[in-house]
Amino acid sequence: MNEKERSGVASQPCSENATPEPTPQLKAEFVGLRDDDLVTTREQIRSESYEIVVSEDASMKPPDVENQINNARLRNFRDRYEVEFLALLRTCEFEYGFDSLADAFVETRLRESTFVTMHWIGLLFFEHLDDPAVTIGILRVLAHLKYEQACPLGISIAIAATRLPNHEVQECGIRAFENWGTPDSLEVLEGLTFSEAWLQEYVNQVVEDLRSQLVASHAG
Amino acid sequence: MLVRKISRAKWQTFAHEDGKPVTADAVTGDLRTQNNNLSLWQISDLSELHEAALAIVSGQERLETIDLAVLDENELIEKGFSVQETLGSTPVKDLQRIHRDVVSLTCNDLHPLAQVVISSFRQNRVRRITEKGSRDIITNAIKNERLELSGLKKKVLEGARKALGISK
Repeated sequence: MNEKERSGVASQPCSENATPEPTPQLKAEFVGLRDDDLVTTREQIRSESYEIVVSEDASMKPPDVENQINNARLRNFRDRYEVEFLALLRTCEFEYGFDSLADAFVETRLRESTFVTMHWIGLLFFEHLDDPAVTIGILRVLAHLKYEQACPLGISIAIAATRLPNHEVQECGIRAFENWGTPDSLEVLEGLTFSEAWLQEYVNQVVEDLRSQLVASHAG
Repeated sequence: MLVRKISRAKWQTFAHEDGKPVTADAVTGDLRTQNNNLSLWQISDLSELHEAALAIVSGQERLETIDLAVLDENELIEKGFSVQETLGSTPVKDLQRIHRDVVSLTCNDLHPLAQVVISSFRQNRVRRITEKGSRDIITNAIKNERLELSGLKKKVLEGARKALGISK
């Protein structure tokens, strides 16, 4: 029996990029995790060197630990990156047919944590529904992700975008599904109608394009 | 006629309504200059639009839906703009010569320039080319030996290879 088993505490690495040895100090922090501890936890997350500690103590609730760690990770992202990301979305150069600095920024965050990045982007989108610069920027970034990366939250965001009042936001929602080009994307687009003639013409054309592409790929 | 890639949504809301001001985003986004010159591609008429589209799409990093505004060159000249022939940056060699620059632009020129773009909307000379349409333009140019795969950027190359059934 090793030291961990003797102590009645099993630990497993949580970091997505590193699996350091546990330390008694870290165990103590997570076993007794409270909201006030998140500041301490954030420092551990910053260095990607913390662990989830699953205790046999009946007072310990593993699901709660998971939630708190996820929340701590999210707060960490918001503290470290949100000002920079919002500034990028509002000011960086977006041109159809080209990658943007915002694309590169999100790609880097996705390598750190796909789960937290997508959750954070979802929050930002819904917190800035009245700020087209942010919603459009987010949609343009999502449209450049692979469908598997964007799924499922990115898909929900794009669907929501097509129902918002701003026509450019609506267009960006259609563009995201066009870029992903999956059977699911086609299904969503087939169900959309728009009051603006140019948007309806666009979605009709994309539906036609995707149908022919999917038929061709199926036949091939 | 002179072709410029634009973002239709930025113009659509006011392009058909008199008296609505041109938004700064439309001007700073779509009429962005380099060394005070605005890059455009010349065609004889709308039937040649695919040539300008090929010149533009073949230089992109991604295949995406794009909007092309076809500007009236005479209208530009009447407004006092100077159009010069310059070598274009496109991997389609025979299209490099159709590139034009509206040169020596100042801040005062941006509003009349935007009015020429608005004219293109009102005279139904704005065309949308979808992602599939862009890919078809690229693959046709490759099949017709006007464009080499090596001239394409990574993601456009991947799309073209997939469409043409060419393995890496």
